[in-house]
Amino acid sequence: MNSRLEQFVRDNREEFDSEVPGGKIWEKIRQEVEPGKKKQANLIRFTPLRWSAAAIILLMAGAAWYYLGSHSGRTAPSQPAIAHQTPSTDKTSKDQPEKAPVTAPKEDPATEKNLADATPRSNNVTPGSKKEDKPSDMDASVNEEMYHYARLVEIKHNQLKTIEKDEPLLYKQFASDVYRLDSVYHNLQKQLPTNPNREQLLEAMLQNLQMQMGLLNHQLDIIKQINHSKKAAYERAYKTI
Amino acid sequence: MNAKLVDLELLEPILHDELVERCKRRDSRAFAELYQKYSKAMYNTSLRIVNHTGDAEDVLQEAFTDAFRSLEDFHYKSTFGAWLKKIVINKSINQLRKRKMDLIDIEKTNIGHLPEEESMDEREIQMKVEDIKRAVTMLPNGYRTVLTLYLFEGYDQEEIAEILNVSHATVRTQYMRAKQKLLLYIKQGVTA
Repeated sequence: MNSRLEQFVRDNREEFDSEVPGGKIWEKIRQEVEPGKKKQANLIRFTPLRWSAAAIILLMAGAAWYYLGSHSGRTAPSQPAIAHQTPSTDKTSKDQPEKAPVTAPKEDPATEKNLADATPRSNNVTPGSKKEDKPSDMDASVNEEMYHYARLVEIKHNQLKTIEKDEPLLYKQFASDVYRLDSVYHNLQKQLPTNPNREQLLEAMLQNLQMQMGLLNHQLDIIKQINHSKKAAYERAYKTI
Repeated sequence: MNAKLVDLELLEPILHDELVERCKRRDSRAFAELYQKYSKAMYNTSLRIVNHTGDAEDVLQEAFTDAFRSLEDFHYKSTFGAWLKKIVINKSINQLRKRKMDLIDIEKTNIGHLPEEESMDEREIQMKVEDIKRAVTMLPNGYRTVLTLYLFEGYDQEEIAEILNVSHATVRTQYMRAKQKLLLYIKQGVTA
């Protein structure tokens, strides 16, 4: 195969590379790879991902809060200290979010502890009550449990709310996610007086609250991560200065 | 000039390429220099395969971006130029495939040898760079790819077989046919 054509090409190889690429190509490459710009691109790419995840969580939290604010009277009373008692109709806890620290959603150990105390108590009630318990007894224990979760949801949501100022978009998204779950809760609640299958319904409501709490926990985790990465970014920025 | 090229190819793997090292340290001026140094050759390599200036520019951009981003993976097992060229060629072939062009219409050509009457006598043909370049663009995609990899990029047939994921024999047959066609186009172009 070693013939005139091959020889000719070999001898004139450079002349075959005479086409010139467009001048804008380098500009495009530069924008993508240049260290300074790359960092920015990375940041932008990195945040929306986390943010949307965070947003989901926040949305749900917002809805829960909203729900609790307007419906605590019926199913989810909001005083942790009386979590094991009959649900009360007041909304005193509404004042709490304002007291919460604005910088970072911190766990409120005192309230959490109260709730932790409340959990076993309500759990004790449930196994203790026999299957043949009158519906009212069952209702009471379920109510208690629900009360407990509703309160937890509310606390978590208040923690989330502290980011509303710093990350309004994220908060909005988070809140709408919680809201979706919460509206299901509402529907269930509306059916409660008429639905013959009360036990199932209450169970579903309880599950819903548990889901809301799971979601809120997730959202809070995300916020923690965001705060963490923000902090790291600031530190890096200071270092470079 | 040829000797100089060969020298470079031999020396580069031994010497650490300072320009590449600077790029590894994310020196943006080094990026620009590296692009200046290699872009034209890489563009022509891609253009010969994809046969479309817009596609070749896309390939060039992607290849350099990828190369710059994965410089840590370049360990002087070949020259930087050879490494980059491999990226360009792979991307060019993918680009052709994306356009759903049949890269290797080999099944038809795999069997038997070339018919006598198609064989061209190279001695009859006047070789000119421009004629050859034009004739290359007229070749079908599969032929053109095999021919440019062998004739212009200096890959041997086994390497081409590997790149295109076909048999060695297929590459050999494809090349023979492609070359015959090319010579025919050159001759026709000259006489026309």
